Amino acid sequence: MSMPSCRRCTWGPCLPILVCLAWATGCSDPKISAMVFYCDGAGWYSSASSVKAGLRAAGFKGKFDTFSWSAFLGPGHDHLVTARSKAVARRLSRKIEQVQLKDPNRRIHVMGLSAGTAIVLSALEQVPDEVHVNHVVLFSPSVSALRDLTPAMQHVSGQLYATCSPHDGIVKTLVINADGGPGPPAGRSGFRMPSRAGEATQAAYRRVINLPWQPSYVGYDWDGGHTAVTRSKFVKAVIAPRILRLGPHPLDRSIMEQVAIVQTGAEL
Amino acid sequence: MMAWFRAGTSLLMLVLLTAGCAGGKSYRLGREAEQRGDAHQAYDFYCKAAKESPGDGSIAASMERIAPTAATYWHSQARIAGSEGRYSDAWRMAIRCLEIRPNHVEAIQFVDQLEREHPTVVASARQAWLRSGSKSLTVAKSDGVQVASARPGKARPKARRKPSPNPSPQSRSTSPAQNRPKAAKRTKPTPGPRITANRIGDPEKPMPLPPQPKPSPPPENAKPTKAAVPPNDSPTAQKEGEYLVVRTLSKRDKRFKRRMKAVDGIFIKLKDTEEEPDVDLDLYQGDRRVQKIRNLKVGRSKIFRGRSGSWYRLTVLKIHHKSHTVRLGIKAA
Repeated sequence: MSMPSCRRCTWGPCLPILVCLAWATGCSDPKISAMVFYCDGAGWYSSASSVKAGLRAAGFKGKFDTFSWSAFLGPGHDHLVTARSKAVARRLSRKIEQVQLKDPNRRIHVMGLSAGTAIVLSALEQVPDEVHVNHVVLFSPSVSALRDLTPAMQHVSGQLYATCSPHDGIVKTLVINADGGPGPPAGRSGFRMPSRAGEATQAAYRRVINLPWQPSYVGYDWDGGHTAVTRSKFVKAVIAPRILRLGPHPLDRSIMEQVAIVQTGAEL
Repeated sequence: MMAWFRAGTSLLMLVLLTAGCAGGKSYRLGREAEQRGDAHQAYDFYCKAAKESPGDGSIAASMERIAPTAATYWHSQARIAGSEGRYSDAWRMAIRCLEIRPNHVEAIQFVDQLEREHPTVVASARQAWLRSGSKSLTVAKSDGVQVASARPGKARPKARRKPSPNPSPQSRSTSPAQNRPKAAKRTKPTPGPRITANRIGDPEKPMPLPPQPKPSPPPENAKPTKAAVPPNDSPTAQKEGEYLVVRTLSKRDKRFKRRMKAVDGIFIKLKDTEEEPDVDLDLYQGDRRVQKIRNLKVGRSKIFRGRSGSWYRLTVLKIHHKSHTVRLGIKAA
């Protein structure tokens, strides 16, 4: 006779707790648990808001963290000195590491503009082996197009997107790249596959995608300019669908795919 | 002194006028195409204008305005191609839609579906697409822009080709040596894939063409009202078996209603017919108009979405302009 009442006593308080637990775990939106680290350009501290607005407009509900890396001594100093600083990049890599240690399932995206891309790549090269980010977006990168992205890509589980434009007046006139590397800046014509690439490099460049400026992007406010690439409309229409998606976007064409087509001597 | 001043002012105005008209011709052609209702053509002309003068705000505004319609056009064409079993064309058209609107969710889902269900066909289409696009991505040269037809009125007939027995790019040889001369003769109407490289808006990417119109039904008979409804043993009637629903609407023939229920909560209203002959229709969900269909010719199709979210394809089977009567077939897309 006492059994039913005892059962009521035990299960009664448990039911709301179980419901709360189920709600908290099962109904969480994967977009909420995502996080974006953003590095602004040298001496340009206002692009983060438009990038954030573009992502939010596309449905991104995660945290957006602007990583301040500038020495506030002007764009020249940022570009030539601070962007190459391993210590500054280590600060970002530690932040990424901390977020991942706290929540290993959290999706992390890292983005940068112009010289900020040097910080992004340097930070990715410095994170411990077990730390991975999901996607990387480099807006108008002023690092060398010949830079070997293999070490950075070891810590990227998804794709690395790099925008480039022949109408970019700033990268066109750059004499020294933000990372000090040789060759033209990647923001002009995109990253290039290193010569004599091994298997690891080839695997890495299968996930590196150049996004060259196209006339159709004018409709999304990117006229090919250096900082216009971070306009919210462009981020919403072109960048967000790529990073909010689990697999590659149908329009993605990796550098490796391009190289394979050229190597087979296909008709251009 | 005054003469020099006047001459200088005139020269300055001329220079300003010329500078302001960068991409002017393409922009004008785009406006004309937009006014005609050819959003996809207008978009291509605006793209050309944008390539010539990327910083022009009016071009950007026009592109932003027209992009959803142009993308919807290619998406609907992709759906039609998919329903006809032309998966390679469908994939390219969906990709064209995504090139215009990379965040077009339904086009992304459609591409995913095609890649999942027809991997071999899509793989060859993708290879062809990569081949046509690799040029500017790896070398990043500024490529020349060609317009398929400078006169918008002539653009359509030029782009159309005879239906090919094997429209898939699979028929292309994958050997580079064999590919080269074929690509060089791209503009010639050789039997082969109906998709040609698009050199208007996005020079490095292929632009699919709209599907060919089905062969028109036999010409109308002398009696207008009877001609609108073909006898059951006519070729048109036999064809109608493939449709879920066949409806006849008329503005003048009292036997037929002007507005009828089509399928899945959608009503069709005949707006008008033209002498050309083509037909203007409106689709309603209840009292709310959900889609306008204009200048649809016999044999041409449009897709629409039902209340449940399923896609349907509406095809004009017959038009009798004298009695303002039209026969429509609807099937799942």
